[in-house]
Amino acid sequence: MPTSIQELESTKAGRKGLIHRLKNFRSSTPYRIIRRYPILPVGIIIMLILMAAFANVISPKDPLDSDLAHVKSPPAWLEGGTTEYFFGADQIGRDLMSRIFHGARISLMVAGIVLGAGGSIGIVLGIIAGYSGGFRDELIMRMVDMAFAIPFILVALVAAVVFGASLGLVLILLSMFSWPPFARQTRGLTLQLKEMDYVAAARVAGASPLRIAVRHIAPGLSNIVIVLATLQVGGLILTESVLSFLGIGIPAPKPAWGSMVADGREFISTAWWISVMPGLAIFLVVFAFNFLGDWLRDHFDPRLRQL
Amino acid sequence: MARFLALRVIYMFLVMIGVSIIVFGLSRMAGDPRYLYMTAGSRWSQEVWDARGRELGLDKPMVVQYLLWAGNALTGDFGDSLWYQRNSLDIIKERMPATLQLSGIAYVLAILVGVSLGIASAVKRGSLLDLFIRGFALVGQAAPPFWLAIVLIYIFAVHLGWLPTSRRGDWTNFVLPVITLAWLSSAGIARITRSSLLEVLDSEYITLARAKGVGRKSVIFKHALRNALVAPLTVAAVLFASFITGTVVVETVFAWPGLGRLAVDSALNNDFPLVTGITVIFAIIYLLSSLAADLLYAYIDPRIRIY
Repeated sequence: MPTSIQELESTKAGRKGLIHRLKNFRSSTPYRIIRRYPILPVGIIIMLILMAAFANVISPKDPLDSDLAHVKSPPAWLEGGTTEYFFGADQIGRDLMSRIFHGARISLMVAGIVLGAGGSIGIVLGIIAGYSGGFRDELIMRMVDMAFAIPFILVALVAAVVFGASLGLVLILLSMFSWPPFARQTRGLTLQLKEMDYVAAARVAGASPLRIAVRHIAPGLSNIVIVLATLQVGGLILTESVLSFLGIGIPAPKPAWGSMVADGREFISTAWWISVMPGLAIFLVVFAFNFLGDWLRDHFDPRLRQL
Repeated sequence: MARFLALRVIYMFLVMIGVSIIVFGLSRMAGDPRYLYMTAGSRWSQEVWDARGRELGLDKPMVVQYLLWAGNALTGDFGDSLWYQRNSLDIIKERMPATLQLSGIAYVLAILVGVSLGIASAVKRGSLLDLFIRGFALVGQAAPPFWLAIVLIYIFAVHLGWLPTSRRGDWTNFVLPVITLAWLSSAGIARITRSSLLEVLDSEYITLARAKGVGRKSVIFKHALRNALVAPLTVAAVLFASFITGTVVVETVFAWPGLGRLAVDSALNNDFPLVTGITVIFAIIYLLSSLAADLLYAYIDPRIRIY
């Protein structure tokens, strides 16, 4: 009988047993629950929302305060790190953890506002296109095609030169490029919904097109809109971080995650945590939203599979 | 097919006009456009100021101004770069080969890796390999491109010292930028290939082929793959757009002397003529590539040709 894990692994039977245990784990109850429900992503998203909501309460320091005594102080678990600066400090001694908390606020706010603006424009245009058809449909759908065909990053670069980088510009640019998917999907579903008997009944009863759109078609769109919005959050946070990283997004000293990664670029050989920590935050959040979006899509609207 | 081709080319020109109107429109939206053509801190005498106004047609209606600008752009004249004090197009031409080399290699690699990973993961569905490939794709889709690049630099250049961190040189300089760029794109391709191959493998003609005794390999590669590969092709155009963003980011992180980095640098230098030049050139490359993708798609899937 092998007595230790090392001994167990060293025998051939033991190695087989390890693979067997791995397979066992994959059919065990906890694993099946994790696979069936998006517990991990929902956990990350709840944490993100809490971080953003209570950023000024839970942050150990002011995100803009620099302390020259702690320049490039490493994270707490590394040699030389202090728990005072748990994720370490950046090149001018600002606490990374506090900056990440406040960065969460910026990321969520950008995603929320852009989704609100882009989503409502897209839904309204999509319903108009799908319900009225004809010339309006043609015009709106060509606009959608156009918006898909124009490389976003290039327009953002030109706009940054003309107007100068600012939070408002980021919001406007992202909104301009986030409505087309909503319009396209909404239109497709509206085309189906307007053939429904209950819509015909409403029309016979004398309901105006506006009333039909708001009371009879819009409620049917909720699934598709929720799935699409969740799938878009990750992309929006990613795009915002790219703009901020390049220096054409949210201007310093606001702690946007993208610009925090850019700050640490020069110090990658001496203080990797300045770049890696905020980048990890972006990665986890985008991953969580993508994963949750996929899950919602598969469960509520498998028709969207090709998205 | 000829009709489809003609429509597609006309459409491409329409989008090109759309891009040019956006770029031109932006230049006229923030005060006097002459400031955009002025090096920061310099002063123009009244005569120069008036002469530049006449050149830009500021005394004429907007349409004439646009035509003047577009006419110049068509002949490759975007104005002299404010930063380099030379013709913008010449600078663009010098930087072009570096970008084409990097993105060409990365694109081919992304497609090869993406498609083969997608196939492997669909064929071995549910295996550990499948799990690993899906993890790879998930990272590629959720990780911010700049962060992935920085982490790779930290591991392979700073920590292990195997590869150079940046700039252009021999083949070792290609490894990290190409891997970063290809990883991001191959993730999407792998996911789409996987889901589309799984869908095809579920269809009746595959069951029939299996039932009549066709070998497993033959079923996958001869029967299923031809249909399954149509889906990844449809996203080729969308992929090009993210590829441009990727090029811009990767060139910036790796100090690659290409167009993407030049675009960011000139945006940060407020070099309006150069930024517009790069935008227009990038847009042309982008539209030509998506035209090529569309034609390939129409060639493979005849249903598309009926427009």
